[in-house]
Amino acid sequence: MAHYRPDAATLLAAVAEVLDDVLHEVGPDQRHRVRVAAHLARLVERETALGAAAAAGEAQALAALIGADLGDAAIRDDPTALGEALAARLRDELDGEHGEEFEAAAWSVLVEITRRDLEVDKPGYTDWTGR
Amino acid sequence: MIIDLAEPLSRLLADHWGEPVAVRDAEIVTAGARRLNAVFVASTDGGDRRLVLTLLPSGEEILNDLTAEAATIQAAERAGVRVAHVELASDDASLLGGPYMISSFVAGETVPRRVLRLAAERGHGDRVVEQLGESLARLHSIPVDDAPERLRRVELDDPIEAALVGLRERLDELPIARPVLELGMRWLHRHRPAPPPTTAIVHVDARNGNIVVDDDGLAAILDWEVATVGGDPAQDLAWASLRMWRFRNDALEIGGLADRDALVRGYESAGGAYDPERFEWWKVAETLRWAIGLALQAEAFLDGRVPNIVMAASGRRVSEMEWDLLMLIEP
Repeated sequence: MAHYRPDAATLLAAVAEVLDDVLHEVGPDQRHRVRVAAHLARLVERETALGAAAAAGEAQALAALIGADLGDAAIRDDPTALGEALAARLRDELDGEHGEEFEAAAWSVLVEITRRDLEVDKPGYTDWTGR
Repeated sequence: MIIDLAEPLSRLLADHWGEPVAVRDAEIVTAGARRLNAVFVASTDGGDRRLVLTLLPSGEEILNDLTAEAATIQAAERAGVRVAHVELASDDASLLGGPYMISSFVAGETVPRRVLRLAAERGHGDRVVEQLGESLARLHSIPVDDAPERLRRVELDDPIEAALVGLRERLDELPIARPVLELGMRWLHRHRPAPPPTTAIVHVDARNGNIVVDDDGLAAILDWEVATVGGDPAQDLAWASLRMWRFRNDALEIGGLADRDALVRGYESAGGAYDPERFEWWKVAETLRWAIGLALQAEAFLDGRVPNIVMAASGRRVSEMEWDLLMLIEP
């Protein structure tokens, strides 16, 4: 059978529940670790559901921003390549009138990428857009 | 372990106060890798006093000399900063097993959610933050030449330059680049302020989470472990105002307790100088610093140096700091 039943997300939710249940059985030294473990199990549960689409969206947005070709083998083989390329460009001196323009475009793209990251890492965090 | 210390503690205090002292009810409050804090009661003919012992395990790497830390708290107290009074401090490890400091126990709430609850009940969030502003101004009024000799120092004369250099170095330690953090660095360079007119002793970690709040307001600023000479005073104001110290009360900029106005009012009333642009710059710098710190914690987990799940989790909190950073640098 091609399907795993229960699937990864369901199993992770089950793991998180067990950790919640034992939280008050463990000594105070371990309590924080158990809480963190339950939190991470739920995080990974969300990642299994949302991660692939987020990665694809990120790749498309970054490629469009820096004018890269998603078909390029180097980019296909290395998921960090686009981010590294953008980071390198932001690190280098961007002089002249297009510098600020590029930064503004980068800001918009990075906000959307970070928003999707947080749907996995901490849902609800992006409801606050203040300073 | 702390029970074993009751006897040497009572002898130490007896010497210090010149009368017999009995130590009881010792309880460890926090025990981190770098230090232990325990509360205990010291009884004399004059009555009972609740005290706090801060003890460094011998041989551990020390961020700040404990006697320098104690001297800083005492200098702050003399300047009118709300602190826990220091009774004794010594680097002599033979008495208690490590360098130690004994200070007064300050009653009140320290856990951030409880601080927020108390402030809501008493309606004194504004006052707490004003008092925080006053205390920080008084700290920053201490001439740097009067700072304890062995307190850690900013390495350059210009704390802005020092911050930029430090951030760049730490950012370069990340094995995988993060564009949001690079965008933050660009912003810091573009908006770089002049060096501050004066530098000061900065607490570096003054925020909800390191304060004691009682029914009347701010009772003490705690945790002087990372205090530094030669910093930009605005750094202390900015750190206290970061979103992560608001514990979900996001709309109240200072620790979830009050608006910035309250902090500035208190700060200026005690002689502090507030510059909004410098303040904003440091908010970005400190957010970036924390983001890099979290990412480096994850790397310490990944390369096996600190195989602790809490460090692993830090890697997935970087996105929160990146969001905060992006909101602060919106074009």
